[in-house]
Amino acid sequence: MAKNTIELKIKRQDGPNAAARWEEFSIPYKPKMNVISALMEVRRHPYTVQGRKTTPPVWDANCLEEVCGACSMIINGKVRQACSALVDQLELPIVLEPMTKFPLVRDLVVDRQRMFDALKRMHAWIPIDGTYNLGPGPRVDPNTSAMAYSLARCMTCGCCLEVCPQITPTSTFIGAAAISQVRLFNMHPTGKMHARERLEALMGEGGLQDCGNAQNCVHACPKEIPLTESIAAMGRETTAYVLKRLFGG
Amino acid sequence: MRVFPSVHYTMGGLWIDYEADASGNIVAGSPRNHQTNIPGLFAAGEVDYEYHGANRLGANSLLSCFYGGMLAGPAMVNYAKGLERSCDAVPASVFEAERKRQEEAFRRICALQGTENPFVLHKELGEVMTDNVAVVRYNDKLQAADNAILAFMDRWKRIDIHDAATWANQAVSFTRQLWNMLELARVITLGALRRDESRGSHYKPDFPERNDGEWLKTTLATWTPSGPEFRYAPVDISLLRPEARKY
Repeated sequence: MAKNTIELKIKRQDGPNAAARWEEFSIPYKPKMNVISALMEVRRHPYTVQGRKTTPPVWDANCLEEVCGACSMIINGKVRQACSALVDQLELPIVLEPMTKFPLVRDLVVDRQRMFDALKRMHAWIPIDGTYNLGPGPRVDPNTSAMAYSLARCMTCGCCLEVCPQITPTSTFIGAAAISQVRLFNMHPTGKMHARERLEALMGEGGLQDCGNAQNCVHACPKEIPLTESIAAMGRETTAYVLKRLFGG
Repeated sequence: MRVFPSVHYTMGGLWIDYEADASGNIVAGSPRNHQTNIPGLFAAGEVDYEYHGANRLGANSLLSCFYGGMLAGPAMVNYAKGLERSCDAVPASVFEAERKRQEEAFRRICALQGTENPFVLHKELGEVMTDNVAVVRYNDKLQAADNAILAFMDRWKRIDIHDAATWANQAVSFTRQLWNMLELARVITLGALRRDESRGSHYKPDFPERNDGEWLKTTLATWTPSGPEFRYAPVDISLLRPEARKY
């Protein structure tokens, strides 16, 4: 029998210091809905199933094609992007919660600033000041470029941090995403020139050594980035770097 | 995922200036480049009207953000260097007055307690625009769309905001933007209504030909309390003559 309605259970919290509460909503079913279009339906009629008037749920979204990471949330117990979570493939009621490893802003919105801070700490960019034309960069072989592409798919969404037991509100661990970005920028022919800075940062506080090898990250990554391979590769690279530094390379 | 060819760009934007030399080429570094008609306010990327003309070809958003950014950056630096006083010299009362004005606008929206829902209005606006103001346009349908937008503007005043929080309040910012969308929707609709020809992505079956004699010009709309006012500016074709577009 075709469904007529969709039930949603949303964890609501008005602000970082407010108490959390659950609210249930029922919305008309439409074929091919995703969690974002379901949330859009809720805010067009912000009343709970009990008929109580409430505020429209607050959530983040941007690209709607799983490349920006803004709509990451916990859907039926699994952290993922709301835009690519298809209602037809989800068990009902659909239970929505905010990610737990980041400071809560409101309802389903969290502040992923620690991830961007980690990218800054790791120098996860290639410094080009743009004052003069550097000309074409060195050529890259297809294997390297294919690997770089798979690492470049990271959208800093936070799934890998959410599932990592080493990430807590007080830990300084940068998490798998930033470690994998060090690998990406260190394999780039121009990025390589600053490999030492990144490796030094990676060996600093909250760096590579805080990984506990739980390997949850690689299973949670929606972009199928080989995160555990990246962590292992960076282990090798930092070890080689330290030996070279010790014995003068 | 359901995929639909949605309208995601207005094919117009804030008016910006530029400085050309005698040969018609742009003068790099001129503080006029990418400056809007509000002194000191610059616009670059798809927020400005500059580069697309009557059509906006795929990937041209990159052109407008990179090229516009390359021009706007030095222009802003040179504009700031040429100023006689900095913002520090502006009395605090100026900033305080603007802050009060913005807070008042926020409070007014928080106080909306009617029966309309802003997200429903937005959906209906999208449907009216998609049905009547997409690529194929008829004057009677454009006029009907403008009437519908005016009705939405009336309903906007009877919104029930549902959320008066002063923290992370998406309903208020959305409702505020929705008003601007309504204003802009009128600009697009009325601009299209006046242009009796077909050009780029603007196609009127009743006027199927491009009419360079009358319409090789840029539509400029100015905000007034009673709706947009239209003027037209010539298109600079000194470097490239227009040709027939045949795909």
